[in-house]
Amino acid sequence: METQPVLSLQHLEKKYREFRLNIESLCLERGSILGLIGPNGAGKTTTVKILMNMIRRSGGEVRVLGLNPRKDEKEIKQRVGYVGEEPAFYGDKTVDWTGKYVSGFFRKWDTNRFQELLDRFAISRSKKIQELSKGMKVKLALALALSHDAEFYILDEPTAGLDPIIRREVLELLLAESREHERSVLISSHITDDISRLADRIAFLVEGRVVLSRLKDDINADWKKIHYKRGALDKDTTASLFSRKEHAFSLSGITNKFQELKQKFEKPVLDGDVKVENVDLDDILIALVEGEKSCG
Amino acid sequence: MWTLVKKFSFMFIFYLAAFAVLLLYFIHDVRINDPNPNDMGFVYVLSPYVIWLVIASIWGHEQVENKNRGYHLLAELPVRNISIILAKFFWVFFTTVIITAGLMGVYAFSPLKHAFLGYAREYTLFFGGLTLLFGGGSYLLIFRFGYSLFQKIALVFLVLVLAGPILLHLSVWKNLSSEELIFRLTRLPTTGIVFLCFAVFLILIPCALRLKESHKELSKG
Repeated sequence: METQPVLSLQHLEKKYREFRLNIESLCLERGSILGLIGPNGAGKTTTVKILMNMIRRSGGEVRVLGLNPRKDEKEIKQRVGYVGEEPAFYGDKTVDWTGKYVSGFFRKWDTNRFQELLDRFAISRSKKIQELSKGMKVKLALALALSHDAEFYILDEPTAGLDPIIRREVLELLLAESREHERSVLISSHITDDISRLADRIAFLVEGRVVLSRLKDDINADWKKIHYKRGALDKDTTASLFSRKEHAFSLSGITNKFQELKQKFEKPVLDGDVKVENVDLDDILIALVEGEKSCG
Repeated sequence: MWTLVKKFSFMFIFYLAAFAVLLLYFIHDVRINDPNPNDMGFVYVLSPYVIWLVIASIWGHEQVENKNRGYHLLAELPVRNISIILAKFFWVFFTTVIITAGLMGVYAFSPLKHAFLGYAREYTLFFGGLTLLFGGGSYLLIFRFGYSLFQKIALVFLVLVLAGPILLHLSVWKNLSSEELIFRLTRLPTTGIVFLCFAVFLILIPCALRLKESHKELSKG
């Protein structure tokens, strides 16, 4: 049981009239954090909702904590802490009422933990939900998700629309939860900075397909931005670069095979004809989206 | 399921409380203001109100759910759709039984002559049965077409239930007394109709479940 991945997707398919989600394979090990990055409309929310059985898949196999969301929806929701894009609460009810209401559905509700998180987030128990800001509502949703001893957290764009201070606070809490209690996290976002800060493994979802899924460290090692002078690189290397751009005095492009091509770059780097830079996830996402478009 | 039954109780109890006030008024009216043992007019008008009260309480309850995205919250919690449906149908059944019994209680306390009481009871049970049918049907409508369409249909329906018996009496059946109308209706096999309505109400539970489950498929997001 312990060695089982917390999440396993095989040939997952969901068809809509104008959109098709088609994930060949995606896996998440216990204690890891998987960041699902993609532009708006890439299928992140659809994927997350399929895991929670809020949407039915058209085909393929899905296992969450080794269970089938269709058959074991209730058990999965007992063991998963979920925060949706826009948390839904009863506006005229208080935070306290909401906590009591939600607690009624969980086997392992920890009231002390909930109170502790409310204090940490400075959310007043007597406040009505409609008096809370969007950031406060997200924090409340997070407090609820973290108070029933979940083994796996599924978070769908939890930081969208939050200010940087609250975003940082939320991410730190999740990171602590994952590290200290060995909890697994799946976080979907189009804010690549959040994913970069949090995830061990990153999957890029573009037009319903996972076009890249690797450990963050491997991505950082292989994906580099190359600034080079005209003629500094051979034709093949130049042709293998993504997102090529021409600047006033140099050219630039992104490679996803830096470790493989490392030797080719060594001499021109020493000569000062090539400069290698780390690339951020935004650039990778843009390169992948452009790559998908050019593939038709 | 009981957590949900408790949670859904507010709106239904609110309408039951409103109904209790209405009953007190009618008891006062038929016993003191107009104690006529041969007049079944108030039975003719009052009994169909069970439909009105139950549909109105469903409407009020669903309005709260719709406004607060209550179904969305429930979809995120470890609760089966069948528990949600059973809790909703429980309240339809419970309020119908309470209101029907309450009405029969009022008639028992009224100065109606003994021979009329049986007719009043059957007439009320007939509308109790219909209420189960309409109540269950309302949830089918909500789960299939959503709250907005239900709201529009419910508005027209409730006006018809409210004004229907009076309008029918004034136009189509103007030569018939209330008593005659009740006698005619109770000539129908009312007990059978009530059982049939109850059976259909039970069948509507799995139908509502299927509609709620399939509603997940309607849109991307």
